[in-house]
Amino acid sequence: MTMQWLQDREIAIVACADTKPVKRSGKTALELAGEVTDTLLRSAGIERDRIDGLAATPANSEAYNPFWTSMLADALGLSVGWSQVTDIGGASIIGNILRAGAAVHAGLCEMVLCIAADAPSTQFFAKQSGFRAEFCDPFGYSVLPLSFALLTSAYAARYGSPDRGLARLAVTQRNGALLNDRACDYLRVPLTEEDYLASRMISHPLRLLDCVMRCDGANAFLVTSSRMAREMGCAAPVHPIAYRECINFDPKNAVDDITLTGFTQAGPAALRDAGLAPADIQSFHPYDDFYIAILLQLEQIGFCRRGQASDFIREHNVGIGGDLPINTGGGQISAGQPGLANGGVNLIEAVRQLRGEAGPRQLAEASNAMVTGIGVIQYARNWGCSNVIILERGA
Amino acid sequence: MKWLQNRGIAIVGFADTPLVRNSGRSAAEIAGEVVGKLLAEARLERRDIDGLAVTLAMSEAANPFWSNLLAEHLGLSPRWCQATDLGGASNLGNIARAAAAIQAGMCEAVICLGADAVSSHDATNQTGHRTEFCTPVGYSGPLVAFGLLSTAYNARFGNPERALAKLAVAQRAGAVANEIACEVLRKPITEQDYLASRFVSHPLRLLDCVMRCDGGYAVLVTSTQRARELGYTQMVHPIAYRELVNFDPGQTVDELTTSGFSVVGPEALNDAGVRPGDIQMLAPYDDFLIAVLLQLEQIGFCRPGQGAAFLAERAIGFHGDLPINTGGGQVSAGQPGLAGGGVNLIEALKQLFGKAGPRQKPGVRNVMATGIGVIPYAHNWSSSNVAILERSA
Amino acid sequence: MSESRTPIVETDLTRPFWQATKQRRFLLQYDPKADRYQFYPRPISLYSTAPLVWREVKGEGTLIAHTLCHTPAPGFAALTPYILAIVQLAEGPRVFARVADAKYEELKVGQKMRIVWGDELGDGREYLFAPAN
Repeated sequence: MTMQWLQDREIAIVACADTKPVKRSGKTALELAGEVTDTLLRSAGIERDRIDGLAATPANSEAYNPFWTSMLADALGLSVGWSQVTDIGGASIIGNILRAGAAVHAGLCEMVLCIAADAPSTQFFAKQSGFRAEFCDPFGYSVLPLSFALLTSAYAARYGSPDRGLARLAVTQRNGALLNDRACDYLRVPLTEEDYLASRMISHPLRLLDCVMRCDGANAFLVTSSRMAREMGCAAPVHPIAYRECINFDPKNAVDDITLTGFTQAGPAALRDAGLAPADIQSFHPYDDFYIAILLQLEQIGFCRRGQASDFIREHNVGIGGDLPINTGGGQISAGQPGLANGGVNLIEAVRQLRGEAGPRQLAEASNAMVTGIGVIQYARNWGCSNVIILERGA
Repeated sequence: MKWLQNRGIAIVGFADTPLVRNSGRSAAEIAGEVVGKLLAEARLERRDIDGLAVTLAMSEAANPFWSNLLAEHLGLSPRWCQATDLGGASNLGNIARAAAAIQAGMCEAVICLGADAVSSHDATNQTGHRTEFCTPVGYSGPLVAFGLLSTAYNARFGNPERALAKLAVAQRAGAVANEIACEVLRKPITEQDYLASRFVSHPLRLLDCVMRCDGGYAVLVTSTQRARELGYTQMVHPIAYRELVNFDPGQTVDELTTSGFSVVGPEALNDAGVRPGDIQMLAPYDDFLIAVLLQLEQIGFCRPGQGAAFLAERAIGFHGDLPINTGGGQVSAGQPGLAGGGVNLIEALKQLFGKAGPRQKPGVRNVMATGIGVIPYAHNWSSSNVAILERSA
Repeated sequence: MSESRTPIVETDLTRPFWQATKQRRFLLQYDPKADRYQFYPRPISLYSTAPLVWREVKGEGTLIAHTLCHTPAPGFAALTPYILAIVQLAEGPRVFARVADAKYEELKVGQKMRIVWGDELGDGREYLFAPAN
């Protein structure tokens, strides 16, 4: 199974846009989608009629609507030959970049708008069903941090507490947010490792400052063929050169260690596809709903050995200017998670780094980046979806 | 999409459940039944499946992680997974998306799955313009939209009710011969019964409309090469597919009855290198019978306004020269919510695999199947898609 | 059992429209660059990236389609059967609403219609269509 067309640099991201995440926007997801589409069309300098593909993510604020992409198309005035919603949680946005690429590669369409917008503070309709409603909620499952607290306790039992590595990450990402005017203003206050360690326990051993904060926002990316990117005169195309995804890791509970995830498969496979070693990655933009998730990814993708992530973070400089910068814009934890438009926050930061548009956060070496996604908690084990995309700055 | 015309993609198996009104089951339970049947029928293990494309379920509408829940519930661990939310166009749409994902190397064997229990539980609440500018002023559902389309059509071309009566009777005869059709619908009707049925949204009659039920289906899509490696001898190739979402957003087309089929129908025929006369059987999406008539005209089986005359002339029953919805269509078999587009698709596959029992048209080699999805504001339907399916030689 | 009507939940985007209905004024979004109107209110222009402005219109147009609805929306049971229609306004956009002061059998696609105001939403802001003559 190969996706040679990725390695052939056949696909390009030619534009990106976002709205600044805010805690209470008072807006609907449709309004945010309109704003971000408007910004994207202006910055790409293309007519709306050129867009013939649409990939969206669901919105918590519109969850009852089973026709969400059609509603978006109607509201935004788009008429397309291919559209879809990807419902793999925080893995959906980089998943959409790839699905858009595959649709372009397959000839279903040429120019795809990948869009995500959510306004969970305005209204929240999502209601999980199945095992969650029947076998979790009635037994005291309250909030997502609980799942990650369980993971953290399993990890700590095996490898010892990773507190000090997490504290370093918390400060590093916050420093990124301070330099990022697209981060949620509420979070743009300086932080020390002591602040992190002293923050209150939400679900022991998970602290408040381990957790992402939900907000309202939107992001959008324009994906097309590299040939079209050249015809458009795109100055800074970004190519996805490898992508792997794993949904519902370990369905049969064959793996003893619940801290293991699909990244053990998708991470090494994506690096192999790209012909890169972990040390070749110039910046890492891992999905961060909770900091422990970054530790697990560092180990399982192959940046360090199992149980070594906390030491890795303290021994390397993971900030801007370091040898492996992580989530340079603050990540979701320090920039805000716009509901189910979540995976786009770290992706847009990576794209901005590669396009040389990261302002005071700009890395000197930014010719490639790895971005990941995590989606959905399965029953009594780890998260269900893990995906990895490796991006490269085009010539 | 040359790779479709090259017969590079194969459908090698399918399964469905009986359509049942108010089954009391959940969509996940229905999904379990069809996937179990499909794996047994196709002689595959779960680990052989590395792709999953699902339709959303109205009965689970508020769950923003539906495809994942199904993967978890069914014990599948795919490398590519998605939901398609184009309403009745999602089912055919998933076949094309699965094919494109296989073509792109993301996966090799995909289950396209639709399951819904909407007659037992409806969790949908459409948002945006629907809740702000439609329901508050009296919009009560798709039958209003199709009542409006019908008056616009009638004003231009005259009332096609006699042809619709013939279509209603032909589809019903298919349902009577189809054991998965909803039991409450498996009673023969006459044209007189159709014409005498009460108006629900004038000029739309009760017997123009679908009835909601519960049910599901699953289809296995792989590459033709992989299908041969796995030892399948019988397969069906999608040889052309076209889709258009949100037709005419700028409202430049004056005629309300014109839909995206006027674009995608001729395109799909052209891609496949066939003319309408080459199509041996039709499986058009039928939420309302008028939709079948509009499709015949806009895809190019006859000229605009000639749909009624066309239906009157042709033998459209399951033993006719151009059979239409031989299993009853959704109107006579039932619409299992957003898995509804699968009803006519599965019937087309049964015909092409020679498994349609008393409804079998001998030697059928190709079928055109279509999908319709979602009503936008004061327009025709939003999504139109067309697939041409061909039995392997 | 009397179900109540689906309440109109205004958004920031649509508030100017609903405010105007209280004075029985019907507003459309207008794109000055493309010189086109649109309805329902959308977050961006369908025709360009120019900012939209609100413009009051007379509410005159042509009947495109109508139906006599026997299956009421919530809160409409007492009015059933009632007529619903799509009217294309002189400015271009199509609008969906109930028809007042007309018999279903007497309406003809192509005839002139105008917007009138009803009081059933409580504050006189329900827009309906009626034959123009």
